Amino acid sequence: MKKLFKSILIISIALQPLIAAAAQSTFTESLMTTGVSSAPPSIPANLLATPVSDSQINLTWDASTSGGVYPIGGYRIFRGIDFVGTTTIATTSATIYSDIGLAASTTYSYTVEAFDTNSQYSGQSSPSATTTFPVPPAPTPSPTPTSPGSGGGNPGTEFRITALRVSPGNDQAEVAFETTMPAQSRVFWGVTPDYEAGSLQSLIYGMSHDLMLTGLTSGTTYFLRIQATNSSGTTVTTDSLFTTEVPAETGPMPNPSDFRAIPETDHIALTWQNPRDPRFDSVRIVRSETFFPKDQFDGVPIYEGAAESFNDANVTVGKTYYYAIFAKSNDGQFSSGAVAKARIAFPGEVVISPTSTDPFADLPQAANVDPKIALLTLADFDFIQEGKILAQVGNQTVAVNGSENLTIRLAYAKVPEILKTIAITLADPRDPTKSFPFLLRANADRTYYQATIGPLGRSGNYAMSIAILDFENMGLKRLHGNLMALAFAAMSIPVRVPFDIGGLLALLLLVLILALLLFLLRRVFAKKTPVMTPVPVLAQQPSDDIPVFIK
Amino acid sequence: MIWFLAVAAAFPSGVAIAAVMSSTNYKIQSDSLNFGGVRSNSSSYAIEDTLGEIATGISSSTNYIMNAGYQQMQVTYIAITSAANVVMSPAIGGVSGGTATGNTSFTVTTDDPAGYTGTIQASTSPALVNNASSTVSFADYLPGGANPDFTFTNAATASSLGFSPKGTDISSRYLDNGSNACGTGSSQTVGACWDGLSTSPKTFLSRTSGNQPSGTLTTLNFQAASGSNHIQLSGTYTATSTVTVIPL
Repeated sequence: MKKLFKSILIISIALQPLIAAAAQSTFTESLMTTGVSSAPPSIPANLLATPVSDSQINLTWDASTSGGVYPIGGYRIFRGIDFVGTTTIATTSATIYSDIGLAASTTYSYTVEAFDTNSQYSGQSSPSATTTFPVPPAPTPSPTPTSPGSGGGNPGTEFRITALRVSPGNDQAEVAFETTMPAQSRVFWGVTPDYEAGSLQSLIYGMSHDLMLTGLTSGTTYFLRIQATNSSGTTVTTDSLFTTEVPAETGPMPNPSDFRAIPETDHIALTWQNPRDPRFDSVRIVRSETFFPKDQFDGVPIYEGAAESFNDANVTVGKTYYYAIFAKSNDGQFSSGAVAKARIAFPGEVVISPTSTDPFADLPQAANVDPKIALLTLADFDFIQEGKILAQVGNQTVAVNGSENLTIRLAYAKVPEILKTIAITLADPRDPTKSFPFLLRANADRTYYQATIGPLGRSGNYAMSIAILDFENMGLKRLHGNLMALAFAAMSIPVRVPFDIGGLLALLLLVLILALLLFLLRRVFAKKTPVMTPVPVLAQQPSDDIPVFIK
Repeated sequence: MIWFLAVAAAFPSGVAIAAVMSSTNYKIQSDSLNFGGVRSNSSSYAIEDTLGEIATGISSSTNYIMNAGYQQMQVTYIAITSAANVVMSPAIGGVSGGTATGNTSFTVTTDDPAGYTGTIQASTSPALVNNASSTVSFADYLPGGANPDFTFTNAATASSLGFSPKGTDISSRYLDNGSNACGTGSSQTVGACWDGLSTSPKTFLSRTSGNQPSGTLTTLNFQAASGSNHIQLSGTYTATSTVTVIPL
């Protein structure tokens, strides 16, 4: 009976998890509303299509006016060929457009439609049609001038191209030059000497020529051939090169990376890497004794400058210090902030090494958070590179380019307007105990909490932990995910090498010594192997590198 | 195993080996290893008793909770299937006004012979809020009386979101008389009995018996409307609702 009793107890305990108190299902209801504007934008007027080459037509039109509370959002451009069909070819916010890549000697018709920021459309404008130029003769391969002194201009003047000036922008370049006599001009360009990217022609005879090349790629070197033909058909050619500009960095200022606070005997050593951003001016470090500073003005400023390390000597043993570092741009913008904390132990105190440098790792889990915070998932966060929102795989993993800045943001409306801290910690893929924590802050127009970090720098899986601290409810919400980074070799920032130069030299020296020892040992055994026992050698002269046995 | 066989030999008519068993058309949630007791039925009662158990009951400390004894094993099972998100359509004209509708369904299953209740609760007040601006919203539907409105009514100068549950287990409050009133009768007229969401739980499901293994399907209909003299800011509006079911 005693055994029976024991068995009943065991079975009862094993089935305990079947108890269910309640079950829940959460879902959303959503709908769209449209058309609050009293009227759509006005129809664009005075559309004009002008051919500028055998493959390009330029469009201009008058700006539309808003029909209501919503401003003009842009224009849709439609194109038909030989008045047949209409296809949307582009959307632009400007009132000019260059349609390139067209067929020569072909008539194209265009219409334009305005839309506002509420996606209300004006209807299409009256069409405008024109025909591209015929294909010109191929450029002369020889760049040397020909037939000087004929076809106009002053008698005896050599017909040639002068005063060539190329003014490249990010995606376009202005080509200006003079000819010594009136001429038609034509330019060919491409990223190879075949000038494969396009050509532009002016059929007007003139001595000052100015052509605008569009649709170029930023930061790219182009081959340029300039051709001028005078009225007598004489053609001269000049070749050149130009490189388009790289656009200036835009978007939020990236945070300093690898911010660490290391307790020493009498100070706390702070180290970091400044963002490799052309707008970078300096960093500002603020310190608090209560919790991580929320912005660059929260706490005591302890350092401002462009260095990458600082020793905080004004510290008390046994006290925990919370630091936040902010990168400042040359126009006064501050990054969202990276954080670290440290405490100098009392002499003799047994310090348990932390399992992670994540300053939020030891915060107690407390589920009592605002309902809006409780509902947050990783899918609520946007991960943005080069203006594009990156897809999340399985709502937990985001593939990122490790060579580009990364912006992480959360819509302002998704969290309550209460005192809170939103922090993200990325773990080093090579050493998960090392981490890189940073804060998300509201942007200027209070539409997002966001942070931008510099390129991660190396490929690997960066474990990501998001902590949302709800100070009002004394709660903490945690989310976990991964950033799968692929870093390319042509990085703009240096990658930290695991050894210093001294260490590398020492390693090389050790390898050399070992190789030398191995060589000597092999020589010894090579000598010994044929004879099992050493043979006395009396008359042989020892050389420098062959050991001998002398008995 | 030796012990089970020994007991089975000693009590061949009253002992079973404890297990959870099932086939395609039945499931025994928990049976008993025992030597007495019986399930008795009449037209007016059902009783299960046990014999031979000692030291039964619930006991606990900071480290464990123990349910000792067969009757203590009458744990309750309740489950709800995941309700799909609702995208109401068509889009409502912010100036001209209009109505958008949508619905979602779920199935509740319980082995609790006493049944269950279910509530719906919105995460915000009002529930349907513009994604871009939390201050722009549709009002929660407000019935004209204590019971839900038989007909969804939205003033020309207002916008609102209401819900109407349909299914075998909905509370009597959402049943209607088939013509013009809710909270009375036993009909479930299509498109009738509209109520508003709230951040407080609102009971809309009530059942007084178990329903496993098939469970009971409930459909939640949603309707949003903007009046013809009401300007509703364009954009996407979202409400988040949670249905909670609790065994009785």
